[in-house]
Amino acid sequence: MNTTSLTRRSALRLIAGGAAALAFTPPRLLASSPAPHAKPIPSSGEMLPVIGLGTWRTFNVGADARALENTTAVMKAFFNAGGGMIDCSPMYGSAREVLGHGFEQIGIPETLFSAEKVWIRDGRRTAEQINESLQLWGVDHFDLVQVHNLLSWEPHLENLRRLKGEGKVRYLGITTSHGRRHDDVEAILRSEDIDFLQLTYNITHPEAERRLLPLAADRGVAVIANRPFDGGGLIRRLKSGNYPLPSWAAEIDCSNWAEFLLKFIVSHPHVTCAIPATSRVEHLRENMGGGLGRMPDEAMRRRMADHVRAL
Amino acid sequence: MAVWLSYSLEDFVPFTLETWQRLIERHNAAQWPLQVVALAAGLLVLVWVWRRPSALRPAFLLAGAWGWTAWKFLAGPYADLVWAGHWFAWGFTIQAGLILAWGLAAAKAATPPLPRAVAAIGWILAAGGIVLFPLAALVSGSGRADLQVFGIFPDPTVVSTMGLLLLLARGPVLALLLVLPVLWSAVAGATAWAIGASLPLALPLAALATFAAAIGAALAGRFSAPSTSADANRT
Repeated sequence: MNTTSLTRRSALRLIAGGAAALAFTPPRLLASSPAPHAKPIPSSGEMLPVIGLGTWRTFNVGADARALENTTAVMKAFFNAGGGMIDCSPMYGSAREVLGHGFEQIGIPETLFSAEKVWIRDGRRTAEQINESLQLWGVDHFDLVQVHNLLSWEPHLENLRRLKGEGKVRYLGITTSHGRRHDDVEAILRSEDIDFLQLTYNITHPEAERRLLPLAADRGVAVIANRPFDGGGLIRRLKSGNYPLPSWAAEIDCSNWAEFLLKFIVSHPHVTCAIPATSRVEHLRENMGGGLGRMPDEAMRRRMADHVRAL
Repeated sequence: MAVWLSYSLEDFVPFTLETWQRLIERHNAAQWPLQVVALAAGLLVLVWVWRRPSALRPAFLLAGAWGWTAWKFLAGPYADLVWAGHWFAWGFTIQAGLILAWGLAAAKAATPPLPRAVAAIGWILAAGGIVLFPLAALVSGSGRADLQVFGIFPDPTVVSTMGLLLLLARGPVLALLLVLPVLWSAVAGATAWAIGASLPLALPLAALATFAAAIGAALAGRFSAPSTSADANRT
């Protein structure tokens, strides 16, 4: 056994680690920049903007012409602000069609990182559901397909690997949310070769920090943080309670709660990106601010969490 | 089991309050002026039941209301938002079939008298679904974003059906015919709660009142075979 040889994956992981260190230089050393921060996908080194776009609930608007205009405007603003990842699922009602409508209007941006899920109990129908989703999005491939909530994950992962080999899917992953089934996620991380893990991680639900985030980093797996505002409830509570942003938030270039909450998430060294969902352009702009300017260091992150806990 | 317990209501409702209100508004625009016809049909049912509490004619109209709601709303724009919409549409179709079968079986028989309190609950629910639902939207000033009419939308159809069944059906038949309306009341209440709609407990409370009234009628020993005594439920 040659212990000094590097596999492609581990080499990329090292490169990605270096890039991540550069991307998240401690705030005191980092000048403000209008360009959105990006982090590397550990398994390839490809850079991904740290703020993505979720579609749960907000993009499920059916055939409502007025709402379709809004969602299209959100997509346009997202890409204009340097956005990359859009995440969706067959579980989200009409959200896939709504994305397809948006892309018909604005075209397929070069920076799009399409993240879809497979959510079907029958493990033999992976490709069928992905083809349906491709048609609804109006794209010819997905950058990432994740097994949604670990539903029939074994056959789906096997099929996704084959599709990846055929070039129809670039990355594969798994998802969970609300802190569910972390033991199963951990076992899959240890035993399977996956590129992405999506889980719930936010300032009030940091449980993933203990085991899953370090393990994902160790295994060279990119992490997508869902429910960054705790399903919207957290930011609604902060705004409706008229809690002022602490003055020291200016040290990390935060001018609103959305930026504050998102910077906490994406500044974690093992989180690759967060996917806040919205159907409003003004909220999208606030969210995109979470990927701009100075980022908190570890001490600042602790201060942020303590502050929100105390409210 | 523990995993399922970790789900919240919000996890099963994939749309926002704004989307729900727009859905109601859009469906009202698509169905206009059927709301007027549906409202008139609902009032006609109330008059029929008041004059002679027999099941046949009300059952035909109720079955039509359930069937129309199923295929024009639940399997239509609602199913665009909720993957279970088609299942709900089939449930409503089954209910329409059951109501029709009951109406034909009960034919011209009138119902025996009800305790006054039970009859009152039946009338409140029957009239509430037909009159109060649209009235509430007009009073609140929200207009078509909240205007739900019997026979066009599921909630008023279900509430008025529970009331009419209390007035007209008895015994095991009543129990059978109430299963789906009560289940829908739970679904509607949970949805309203999850999206922050107004009066989320309205339908669950209506179902609870129906259940209590049905039990009350049974305890009062009123569950007997249909008789021909007209105007019985006014006593």
